[in-house]
Amino acid sequence: MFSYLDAGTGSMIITAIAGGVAGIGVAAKMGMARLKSRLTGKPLPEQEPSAQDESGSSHD
Amino acid sequence: MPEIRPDSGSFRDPLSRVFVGPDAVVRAFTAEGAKDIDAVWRTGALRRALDSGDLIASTMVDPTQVGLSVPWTLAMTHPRLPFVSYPYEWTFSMLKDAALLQLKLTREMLAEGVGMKDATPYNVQFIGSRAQFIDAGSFEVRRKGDPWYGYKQFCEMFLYPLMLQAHLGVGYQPFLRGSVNGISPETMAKLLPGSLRHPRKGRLTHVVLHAAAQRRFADSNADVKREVAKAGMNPQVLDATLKKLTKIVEGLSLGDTVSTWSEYSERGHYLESSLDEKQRFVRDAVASSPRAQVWDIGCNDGVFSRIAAAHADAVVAMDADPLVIDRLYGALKSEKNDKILPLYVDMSDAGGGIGWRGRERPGIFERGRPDIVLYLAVIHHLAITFNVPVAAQIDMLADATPELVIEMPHADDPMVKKLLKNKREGIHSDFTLDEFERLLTGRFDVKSKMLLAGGTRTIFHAVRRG
Repeated sequence: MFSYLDAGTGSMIITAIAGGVAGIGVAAKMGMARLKSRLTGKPLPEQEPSAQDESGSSHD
Repeated sequence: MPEIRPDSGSFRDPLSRVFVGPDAVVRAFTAEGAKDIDAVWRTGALRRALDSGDLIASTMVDPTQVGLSVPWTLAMTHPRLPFVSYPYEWTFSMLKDAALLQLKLTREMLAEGVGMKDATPYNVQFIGSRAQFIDAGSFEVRRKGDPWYGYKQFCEMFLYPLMLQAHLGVGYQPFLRGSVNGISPETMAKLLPGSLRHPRKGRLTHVVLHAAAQRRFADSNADVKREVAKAGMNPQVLDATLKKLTKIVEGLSLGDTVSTWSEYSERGHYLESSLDEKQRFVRDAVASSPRAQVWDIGCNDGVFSRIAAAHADAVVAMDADPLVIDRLYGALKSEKNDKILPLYVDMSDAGGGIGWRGRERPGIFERGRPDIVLYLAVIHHLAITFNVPVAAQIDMLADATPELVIEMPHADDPMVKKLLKNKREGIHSDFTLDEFERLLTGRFDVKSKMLLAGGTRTIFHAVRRG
């Protein structure tokens, strides 16, 4: 990462999705299902919820 | 060698820094920052941006030529702007044009493998009514899989303020002045509901989904960033996003709105031959000396700004009504006027810095020194409606400018009488021409004065003493 700006992890994902059809390719590569599961918070059946996923809350 | 000093607003990017001198602005790069510059500045896109004026004129120099040394290994000089303005002073159409310029440059650079590190309106300036990108340090060679680093900032500082105004009719300027970083996705999601009747293009992705993604990944580790880069944040994806954002911004508009002041005057262009006496008085006062910068406070439709502009290098036209300024901007833009800079400024609430230590983005009085100020049909509104005593206004003017053209309505002026109607009887009994002259001559010498037709207003041309 060369930029000084904190681009925001969540924001970076949206830049791909916001690209529409082109973005779906990225999402597919990442595992569309996995991406959706992360965003909606519903764990995948075969995925073990990690400590990371359960934290979820933003900073105060 | 002229003395250059570091700019208070340039400190966040470790790879480059801005210095300001009397005649030029210098952007210095460290060895790390300079690595990319050669490649970036050889691209056709950057050349085109320079030629078209989208990017500020830039000349590469050796840092030692401008008095800099370690750690700076490369420098660029740019012309100084007559007046630096900030997004909280711009009206809707100005912020919109700045946003479109940012998106346009980002796309053009992306097509040639150049990324832009950020997306902030503080990197755009207006020369008169012309938007121009001024941050030569924003460009870098794109590495494979690099995301668009500026997306979040673009939303917070360009998109959300514009959406707030376009969809809710809420002025964004207080938000941008209150928060140097703009409006967060979380806040925007709370402020902007969906609408069935007027679907808000881009809301679901750039506001709702954006806020959700931010929450979801707030405590995320670097895993996700690498995943995103590995998945291939390729230029096509980013270009598609930028293209869609451009369409969204283009579709945002102010809507039809009428303000108290936008109906004030239907005056269009003036002819030198048909100037009325007040206009001639202003013209003669401004033309009496060379003027690098004129401030027209309470400029309204800009008729006096235009007169001043014919006899000055630059005019800053300020008004407290954003609709009036937006209209003026539209007119100036269609004329390609690069002398008159229209700004939304409420004189009763102006000045003072924001950002780091309150100095990062200083207030207007620190950003420009007018040679003469036009203060026409303003004093009674500030004194009566806003309770800023005449004495305080004269002090402000004496601190701000060496020369002044000021219009004083008498106690029996119809507008004064109208404003007094809302006040308790006698509370402004000292609002008289005599008292005004007494206070004015405490700080200024009167060069000339004239009673205006109608007999209820006197205009003064005054020069500060000492």
